[in-house]
Amino acid sequence: MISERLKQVILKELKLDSFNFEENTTADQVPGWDSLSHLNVILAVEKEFNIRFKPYELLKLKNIGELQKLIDEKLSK
Amino acid sequence: MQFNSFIFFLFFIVATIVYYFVSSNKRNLALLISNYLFYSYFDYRFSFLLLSLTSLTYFIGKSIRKSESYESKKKIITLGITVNILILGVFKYLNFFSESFVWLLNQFGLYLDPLTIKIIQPLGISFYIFQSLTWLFDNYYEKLDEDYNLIEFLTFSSFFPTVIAGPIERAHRLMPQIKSNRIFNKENLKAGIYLIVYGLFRKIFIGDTIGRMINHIFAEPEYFTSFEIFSAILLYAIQIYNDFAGYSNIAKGVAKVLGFDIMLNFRQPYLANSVTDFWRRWHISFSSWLRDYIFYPLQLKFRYYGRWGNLIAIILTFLICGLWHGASLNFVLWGFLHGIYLSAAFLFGNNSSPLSNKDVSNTNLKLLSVIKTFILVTVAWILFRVENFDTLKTLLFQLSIFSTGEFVERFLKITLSYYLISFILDYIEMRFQTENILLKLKPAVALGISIVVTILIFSYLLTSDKAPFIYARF
Repeated sequence: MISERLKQVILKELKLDSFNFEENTTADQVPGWDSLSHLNVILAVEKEFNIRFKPYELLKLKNIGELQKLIDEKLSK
Repeated sequence: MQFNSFIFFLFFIVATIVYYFVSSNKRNLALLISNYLFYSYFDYRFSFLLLSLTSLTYFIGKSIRKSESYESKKKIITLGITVNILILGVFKYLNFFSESFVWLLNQFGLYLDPLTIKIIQPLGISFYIFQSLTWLFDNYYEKLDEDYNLIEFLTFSSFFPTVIAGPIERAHRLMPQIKSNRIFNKENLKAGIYLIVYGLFRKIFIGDTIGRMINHIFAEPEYFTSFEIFSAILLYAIQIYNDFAGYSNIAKGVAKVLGFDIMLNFRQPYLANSVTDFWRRWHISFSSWLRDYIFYPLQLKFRYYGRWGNLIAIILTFLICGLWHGASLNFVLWGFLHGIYLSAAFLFGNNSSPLSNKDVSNTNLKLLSVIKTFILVTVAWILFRVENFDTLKTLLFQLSIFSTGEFVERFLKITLSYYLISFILDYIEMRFQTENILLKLKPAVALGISIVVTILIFSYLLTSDKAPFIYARF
């Protein structure tokens, strides 16, 4: 389940009004989420949740569901 | 054994018959033997390098998979990448770096002779090393669900449809297909043959015929007028595209006959509305490789440097992109120029700068964006095509004097005709959303066209010299 908070950060960063995020949604399915805007999305997520990702952790991710899981893991520590 | 040769056609027919004739549990072994027979035909000595390097890479990948800690995974992948890049460096770049280093020392008054060794570059080395590296990355990033044996990996790393010039496949895409049971399928045979015929058409009737006209213009530009050189530059953009896209279609078609789906390599690149968009459509298997394994890690590493982080990642990625094509300064400069284009697109992304990559909805503006992108890409192709700076200087000088000569009309007609054919094919591909356009026609029409084109291809190959594929030398 993708949290409302994560959805809002992504929507705001990509200047989108709405998008139906599913667990298996990948970055290339989201309008405007390209290789250059990717960095801004990651920085915005880090700022919003006050966490820091390792590049290895991010490069392993297959979809938004896994990003949510990673955020949850970091927050629970 | 190039794809545009009778010996390849014969090899392919025999290899396919054997491949489907043996029992399904021997199919990968049959394919592996075909891979090595195909590769050894060029120079059997290089097969030993291919076999030993990829076997070593296989075991390094297995060790990454078995490692439990991130630290040990990182150490092992670093070893694997270093070994592969060192081998690539020795065979492809040693002389280039040695000469560049000595040149640099000379600038400071230190005179040395460069260490130049006669090394022949093994065919396809840049392609098979990059493809093998995906095995290491996919194990490192845990993208492989299943375990794979040595035979399966060696089949993957020497896969004959792609070993010479790509498309550069990913372990997580192709290895599950190698593991799966593939049975003979008439639809695959038809789709594969149509792609091969279409690819040969692009290569032979567009790429090669242009090459025959413009090769001597690029070799000795001093004997040609500005208009002829200008036409040659415009035609080169069409030549390299049709040569490489044609090759990719043939590779995909050959793989399709054997029951494999190889990734798309070209998606109408000259219809791109920005240089960023161009790189999403040109040599996709390579550009996405660079994006996933070079650009993203660099971008994330430098992410706290603000805009500079992205800019450093873009420039470094495109320098590597240029260098990958060949050990020569013109490729490095070509890559650097594309890096500049993309950096500018990143910096001016949201305004109306000519280098912006902003998507436009208005049809007229879209057309202008496509033309603007095509001009930027074609200017960069000049660097890609010239072999030395003296030729570049002569070419630019000849261009600058605005001479026309007596063949203006003829060159104009020729250039326009090639553009028309190439863009019509692209337009049809775009409309049908596939590069296998013959499959979209009525069966009788598709069959008729492919028979006529095949006869033409055979007549051409029987009577003319076969031009090698441009990308096969990288």
